Amino acid sequence: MNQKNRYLGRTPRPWLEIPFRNSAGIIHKVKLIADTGCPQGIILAPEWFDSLVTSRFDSIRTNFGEMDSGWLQVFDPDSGFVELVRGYSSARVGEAASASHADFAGLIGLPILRLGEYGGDASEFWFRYPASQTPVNP
Amino acid sequence: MVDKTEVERNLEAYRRMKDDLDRTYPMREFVAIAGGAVAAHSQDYEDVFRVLKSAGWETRNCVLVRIGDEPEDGDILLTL
Repeated sequence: MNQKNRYLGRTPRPWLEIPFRNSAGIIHKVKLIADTGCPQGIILAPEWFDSLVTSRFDSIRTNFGEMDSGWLQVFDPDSGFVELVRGYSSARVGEAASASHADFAGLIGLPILRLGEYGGDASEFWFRYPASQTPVNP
Repeated sequence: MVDKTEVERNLEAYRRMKDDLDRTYPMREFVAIAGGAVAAHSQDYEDVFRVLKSAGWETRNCVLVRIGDEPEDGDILLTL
């Protein structure tokens, strides 16, 4: 997966379009605000969460209230980015995201972004998976 | 379709069984709860989904836990 997207929204936001495979095996691509400050992997508007969730997990408490939780499958086999990740349902987050731009269905946070490599400049945000192989000095 | 009653039944079963699950299964094992009881387990979540579907369960209503995972409570910094 290799994306480079111009900022989008009422106040410009970084975003990614992520493919998910639901429990029926259907793949949907969803635009999500990339938020490196978000400690949850994926937060979706409830209608998207109910459509994409593959199975359930316990709810959590946040400053946006209690959120239902479940497992979502990121599904991009061409790049090898196929992961079962924890996702959450929040009407408030969904409303906040879509208020910025009608196409946004929620947030993608640091636990997912750090699985690959991300960055940005004055006009674009980018993400790639897998991360580039950077030599590590001893 | 999503059945909120069945989801809640499975979540209640999970909360009741959590300590036993942690003692019984190895770390990182996926354990699924359907119909209020453990219905499948494996290190591979795809195996778990296959077992659930072959038994006729709608996986969206089942609870899936990975032993050792804890809820990710925390503040979201998004502002309107």
